[in-house]
Amino acid sequence: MTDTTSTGGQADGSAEEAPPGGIHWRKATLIGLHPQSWHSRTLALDVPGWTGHLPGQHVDLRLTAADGYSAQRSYSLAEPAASSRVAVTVDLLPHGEVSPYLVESMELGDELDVRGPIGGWFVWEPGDPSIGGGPVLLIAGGSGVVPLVTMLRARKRAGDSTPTMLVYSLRGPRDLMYGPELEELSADLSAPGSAEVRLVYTRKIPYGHPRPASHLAIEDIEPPSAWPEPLAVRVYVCGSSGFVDHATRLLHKAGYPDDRIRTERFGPTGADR
Amino acid sequence: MSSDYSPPATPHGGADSGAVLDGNAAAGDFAGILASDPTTVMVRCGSCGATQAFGQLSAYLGGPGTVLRCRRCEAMVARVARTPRGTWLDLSGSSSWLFLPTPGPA
Repeated sequence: MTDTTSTGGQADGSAEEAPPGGIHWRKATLIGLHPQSWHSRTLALDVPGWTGHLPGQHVDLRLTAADGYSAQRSYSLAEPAASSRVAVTVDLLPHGEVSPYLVESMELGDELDVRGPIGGWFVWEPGDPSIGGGPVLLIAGGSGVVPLVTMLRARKRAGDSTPTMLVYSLRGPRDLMYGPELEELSADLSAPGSAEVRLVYTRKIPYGHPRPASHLAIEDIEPPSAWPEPLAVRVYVCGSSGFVDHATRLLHKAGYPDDRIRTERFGPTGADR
Repeated sequence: MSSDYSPPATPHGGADSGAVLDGNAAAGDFAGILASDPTTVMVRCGSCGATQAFGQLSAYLGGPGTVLRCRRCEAMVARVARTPRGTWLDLSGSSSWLFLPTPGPA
């Protein structure tokens, strides 16, 4: 798929006369590119008419080929809301149908269709009364870190000091997304907007990393000593289906009830229309 | 969340491990039908009576239509299918949908 002729969104029969604030397809133009890891990059899109979004929400992207064939995929929003700018971070799936185009081929000025923002369940808005003073635990598997980093950015921007820890599970050093930002975020835990970050490498560790390579374990989700209470009031878990199931089991073992856990799974889908 | 898929897609939702997502992934589809964000709706399973947020249901995409199943008993709770005749919405596996008031611009 190399050509993205927009079709104005009649392909899937969704209501184009959506009510204000409703969800419908909009044309978007690629305005920024930023490499993120060896196999992922962040794409910034300009979406005229975009009315903002919440940290944790996602968008559907739709590519349409010259012959009318179209494919759509869901991607988490990678930045807190700012005017008509929408960003996603896309991880390359080698045999994928859409991600190779987004990660390797798409160029500035190219167009595609965007629908969203979608989802109010996997959302952390700074100041959310149901979270109160926290603490909040964020658990990421691979590119599941994207919506969680968006939450951290929104929290920092809002001057929110809810005690927060990110536990980020990844295969090896070259898979690290947002490395410099996470380092800065956790360098001085007394700084406003800072957060504890634990990197859990599952296959290969960078030189000098204190934790040996192994899968996420219950010790990894133990609360930092600075937390006022042993359990977070809210846990967000994002990753592959298998990772989310594994993390959920660990959380149950650590004493978390279901109503404190919010999850979002991603994986290969064939949601084509 | 990110998603992509490797052809060939398994027919009839076969043993394509890892393809089970959650209601968040089906939200775009349902948002075109419901007037508000579907992911925060509390859905009661018609089979086992468990209540879970739409966003937590198991989602099977890529078959003929989108199927949502109860995460506890795996019974089908809801499905949507787009056909040339129109869009089919089948909620027969659910006993209730509770729409909570939600703040925010979504």
